[in-house]
Amino acid sequence: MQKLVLALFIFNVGLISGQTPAMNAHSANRIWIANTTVHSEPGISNTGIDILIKDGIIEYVGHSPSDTLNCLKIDGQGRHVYAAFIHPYFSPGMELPEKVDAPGPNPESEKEVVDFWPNDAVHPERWSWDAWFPSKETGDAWMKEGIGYVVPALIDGIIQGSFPTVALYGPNQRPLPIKLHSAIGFSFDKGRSVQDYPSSLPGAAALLRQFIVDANYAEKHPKFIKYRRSLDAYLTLKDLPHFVQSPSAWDIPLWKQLFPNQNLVFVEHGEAYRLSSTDLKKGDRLLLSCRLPSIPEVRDPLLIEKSDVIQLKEWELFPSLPKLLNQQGIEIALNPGENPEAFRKACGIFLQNGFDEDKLLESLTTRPAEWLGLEDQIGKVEKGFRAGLIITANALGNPDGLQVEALILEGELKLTSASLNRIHLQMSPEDPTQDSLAFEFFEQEGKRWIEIEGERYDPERESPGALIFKWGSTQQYMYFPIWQSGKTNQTIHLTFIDSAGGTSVRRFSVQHLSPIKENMDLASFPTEVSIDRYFPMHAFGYSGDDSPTQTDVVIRSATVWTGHPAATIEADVFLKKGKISAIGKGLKVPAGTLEIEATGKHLTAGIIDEHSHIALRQGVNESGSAISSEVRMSDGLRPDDPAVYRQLASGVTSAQLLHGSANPIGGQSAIVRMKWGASPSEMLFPNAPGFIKFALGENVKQANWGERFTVRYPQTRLGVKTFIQEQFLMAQNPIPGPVSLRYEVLKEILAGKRNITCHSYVASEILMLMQLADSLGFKVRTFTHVLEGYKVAKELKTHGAAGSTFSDWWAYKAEVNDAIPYNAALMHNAGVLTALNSDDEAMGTRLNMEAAKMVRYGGVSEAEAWNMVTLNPAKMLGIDERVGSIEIGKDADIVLWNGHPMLSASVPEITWIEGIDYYSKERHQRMIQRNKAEKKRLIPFILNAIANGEKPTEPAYKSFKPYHCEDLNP
Amino acid sequence: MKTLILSLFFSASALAQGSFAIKNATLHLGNGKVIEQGLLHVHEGKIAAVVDPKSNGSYTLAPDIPVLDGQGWNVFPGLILMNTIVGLTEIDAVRATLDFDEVGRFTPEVEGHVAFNAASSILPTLRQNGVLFAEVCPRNGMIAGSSSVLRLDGKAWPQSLLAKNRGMHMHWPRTNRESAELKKDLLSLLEQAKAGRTGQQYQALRRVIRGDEPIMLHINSASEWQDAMDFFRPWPSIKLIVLECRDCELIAQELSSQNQPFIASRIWELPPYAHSDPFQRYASIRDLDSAGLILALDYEGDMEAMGGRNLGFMAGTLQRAGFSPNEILPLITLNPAKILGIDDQVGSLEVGKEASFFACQGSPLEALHFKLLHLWSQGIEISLEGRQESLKHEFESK
Repeated sequence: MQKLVLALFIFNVGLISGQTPAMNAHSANRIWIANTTVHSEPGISNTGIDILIKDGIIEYVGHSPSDTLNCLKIDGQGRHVYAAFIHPYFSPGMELPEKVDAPGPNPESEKEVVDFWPNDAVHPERWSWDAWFPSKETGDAWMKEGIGYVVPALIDGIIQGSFPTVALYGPNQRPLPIKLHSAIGFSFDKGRSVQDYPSSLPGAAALLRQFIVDANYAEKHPKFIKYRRSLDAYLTLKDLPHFVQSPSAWDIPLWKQLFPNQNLVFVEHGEAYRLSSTDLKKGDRLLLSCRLPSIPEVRDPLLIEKSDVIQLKEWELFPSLPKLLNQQGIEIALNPGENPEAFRKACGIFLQNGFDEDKLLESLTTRPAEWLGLEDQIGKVEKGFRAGLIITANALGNPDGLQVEALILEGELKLTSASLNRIHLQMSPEDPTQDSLAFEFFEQEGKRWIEIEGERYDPERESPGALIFKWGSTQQYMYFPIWQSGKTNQTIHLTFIDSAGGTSVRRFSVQHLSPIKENMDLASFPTEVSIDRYFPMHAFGYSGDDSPTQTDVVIRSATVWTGHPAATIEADVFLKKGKISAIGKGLKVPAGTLEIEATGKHLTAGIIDEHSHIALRQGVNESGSAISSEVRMSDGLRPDDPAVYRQLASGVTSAQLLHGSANPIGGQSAIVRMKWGASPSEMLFPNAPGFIKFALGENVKQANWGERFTVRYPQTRLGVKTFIQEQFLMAQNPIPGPVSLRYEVLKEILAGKRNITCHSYVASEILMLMQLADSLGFKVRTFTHVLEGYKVAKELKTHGAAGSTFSDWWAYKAEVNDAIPYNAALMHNAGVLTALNSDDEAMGTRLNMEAAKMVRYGGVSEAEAWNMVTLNPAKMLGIDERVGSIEIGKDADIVLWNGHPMLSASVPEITWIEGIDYYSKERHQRMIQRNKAEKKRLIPFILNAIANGEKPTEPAYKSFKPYHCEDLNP
Repeated sequence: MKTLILSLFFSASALAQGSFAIKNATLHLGNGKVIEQGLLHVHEGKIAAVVDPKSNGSYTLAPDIPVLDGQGWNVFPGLILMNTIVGLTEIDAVRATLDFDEVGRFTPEVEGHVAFNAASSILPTLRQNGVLFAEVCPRNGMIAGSSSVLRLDGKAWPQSLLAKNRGMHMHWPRTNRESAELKKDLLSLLEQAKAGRTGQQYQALRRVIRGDEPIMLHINSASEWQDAMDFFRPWPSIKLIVLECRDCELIAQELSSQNQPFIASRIWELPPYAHSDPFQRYASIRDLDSAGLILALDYEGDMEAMGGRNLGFMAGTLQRAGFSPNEILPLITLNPAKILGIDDQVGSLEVGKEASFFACQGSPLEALHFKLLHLWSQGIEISLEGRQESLKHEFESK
């Protein structure tokens, strides 16, 4: 049994046992922090300052307070005072029922409730405040880290409703929020909604767009009565900061696009640094994750060999992120997350890595206060501000970690465990009139007790490790931990004085002790860190000193595949300012032009893949609805997909990224260039025509989805026809009210302003859609796959449809039974514009070989076969004015091959897009060497960190899964 | 299309019995050697002579032997598609047509040839690109079953069967909680088989324990190979052949020192990791080859049955890693035959082997210039056409 003997001097024992003596209200509400160092806001510190607090407000900050009577005095000498920190994204304590997953397809769940917007992932009318019931343990844990204010966030669904700002929960009372609606939350994750729609990120973005259209409509049309609960709720909140979840870096540019005029705060999850300054600009607001860097497992020579240099670099880079982003002019607040320990550690790490004390303080106080519209209430130690303060034993910049000794919140004093022992409390003026009280701590039967004057109290009853002292008539309280397990010979000396009524004067002081020093071991981080990022953050991302550039270049004496006409010539080609400027023998070029001797090499237009699903994220299919024309694949672009670089290294410069084939009417395509390292908007091919994916056959009738998928209309090719027809009828006869983005797209088709690429296999369905299109007055631009195109080549030609097919795929499902490798040749011979596509990332890297097969199977000429992967797809996509062939005036999207481009030995030496060498074999080799050197530099640090007790938490490499047409899961 | 120039005294019956000769052809033997202007003599379905005019001088043919003028022809031995389910699947998405995945984690008793559909419409499409043999194997489960080598022509499997029990296909589990259980179960099976327990399962495993049939060990990564080696150390008589393993180039030396052949699965697949070099799959074959082990290629993966016709074209892309076509050809001919223990019968144009080969323009390694001229199986010429050509003919004039 441990025994501690203490002395307590006190007038009124009843105070301790919970009875509240009559007290002067005035005295109860005043605190005086004397002679302290106050950091009133970032960059402003003064010593020898006194602070007076009254009724929860800072009454005075200065050198000589006049009225110090009836105060709880805290001796602030040697202490620091900061504004209490703000946790702007606080998720613990949200009480929600468990999510119930629907057992299968759930189209019936989308029933309309007139008052509410008809999707269960949309709840602007929700208040996080209503669902927030944090435990006291949670509050205590965060108060120990100096957190005084939190923004409880109900993180569920796409529109999550309002978030309040609240003084952190304390024992025995639940403070009212200081601002009930201080932010509104968003994400691209439908959360607990069991509705099928949206099943993908592009679907979620489309849903938000429609919601915004509806809200704007409702604002202008008061008589519009539908969805008013949801729409009005958003309209009242729309000027609040929008806290938008951005777990992927690429969410950030998408949010900006969706909410161009709103006040956005990006809640990132440790990926924001992947963005270039195009996507994350000066002045953007970033709630930066305090995620600790995960340690890659490299304790095995095999693992070192396999490891991804980027994972090693990220480990090194993480601590410098706040500094780096701050240098870019990004406004940063910290998101302490869910783990107080990790938050504390992260702050120390950030400080050690160039994020200075003022910046850290700003990111925890004034910055979030400003975002929340509370900049005149919290975040500073200034007269008139709310009395949310922390008293600390050391300065914030101390790398050992901030030792919070006390927290004053809304005028209440709350002490925290780690450093109680070092605080001195005194009431003023001192009064020697004292009672003494025997005071004993001990441990018995595994439990801690406190005995005061022979009476035993359970200190853990109300507050683990703390005893609650109440005073005053307003049910205020103070509490502090009184137990330091394992410490002996502690002397706690309490004096509590109240001079107001004479009789209730108490003297209350606490003395002692050896602080618990929480040393952080920072030695395991490199002392000389490299914050060089690659663009993109990938092993084959470009480093700043070796990036592709637009250079004027002349390629001499190559075999040039002109494309138009379909032929090869020996010639020089001059690329100037990103365009093909001259073609001919012995070209004269300006001095200083880069010369490439290419005798024996081949120069072709870049390959164009008409059907691709690379560079997309979180869903290639919006399978939640059989019509998803509102969905845009451009919303899901992921420019750092390694597929982009692989395509470049295989001579592909452009592709149409299509929605999948789950729906008869799919989503809008993104036509992109393989601009590795660029932002999503830079990848999009400028001014390319609009396309939408349609699909027919087995996929849309869910034939291969599994036994449960038998309820969605259509389930037959018969229904596919009527379904598509019905949608066009609906587009032609809109319901009055807000514009439907879904049917607007169909109107574009009817008006000839949007093209269709239709996934199709068998002859019957191809004929069906052409007839339906004719009857509705539009044309199908391209049938893709079109494996039985050879059976209906004349009809295709008559309709004016192009065919984009596989070279030799078949036998993978019933509808491809009649697919033949002669298909492309037969369509081509019948005069149908014909292309070969990949629909597969791996195939996309050898489209040149697929073209070769057309020579082998169909006897197509080499130059015509080559056009099937270059000029013909360019024509289908309506971008042949700019790319697809080597003609003067076209963009320099071209490839220099080390040999005949259709031979299996041939690979690109340089791939240019707009005259920029996005891929070069030489740079590729340099990157391999660079990565080896980086690994060699970094691995010793990581091994050292592991030796110092850090635990490896992830493998040092990642596998991945590319998308195909049929993929339903995001 | 018949462009044969036959000798004056040919005998139709000799051709029907699989006896003929080809002269003036470039013979790609499959063992890395090439003979220009060579003579290939076939007698009753077997190769009777392979003559290099430079070294062998003259070779006298009996006067009644039909002689085909192979001027401008390239002659290659039939390619061997290893580790495939061709013939056991017709339409991948139609369950009723799938016959490669028997129930159970351990099914060593099942054999690949017994459900082989010799009339599969996929087979002509393989033959057209020179693929004349397939190692047909059961799939899935820790022990999927025993593979068989089949000729890709023929009316029914008993006639097509070249050799059975060529490899016990085993899928080594990824290291996790379940894998310990699986290994325990496998050990118990092996021990019971060794102890002579009766039953088809144990009988099949005894072939493996005796070393009569190797284990075709499908593993995921180099680290799991180590795990498997630890397991098999007490079983020195078991022969191991390693498949799949997308990063086994990292342990090429170890594989080589253990004399374990390696079958690289579909080098056209994406490289294994997000950060991998785009050309990693090709480069890895270079590393494995440099270690001196017996190396072969297969086409396992998505849509593998129909995709098997690309075996040669795929192999050709190894030129990107510096292989010459002569170095590549054995990876899909002689080396598979060696690994399957059938190199005394097929795999190269060598005396005594089956006359199963083809004549073409260009090379089976190069789609661009490849044009198949003639195809022989056991000395008998077989049709170049299949269902796909019928469809072509039917609709091209429409």
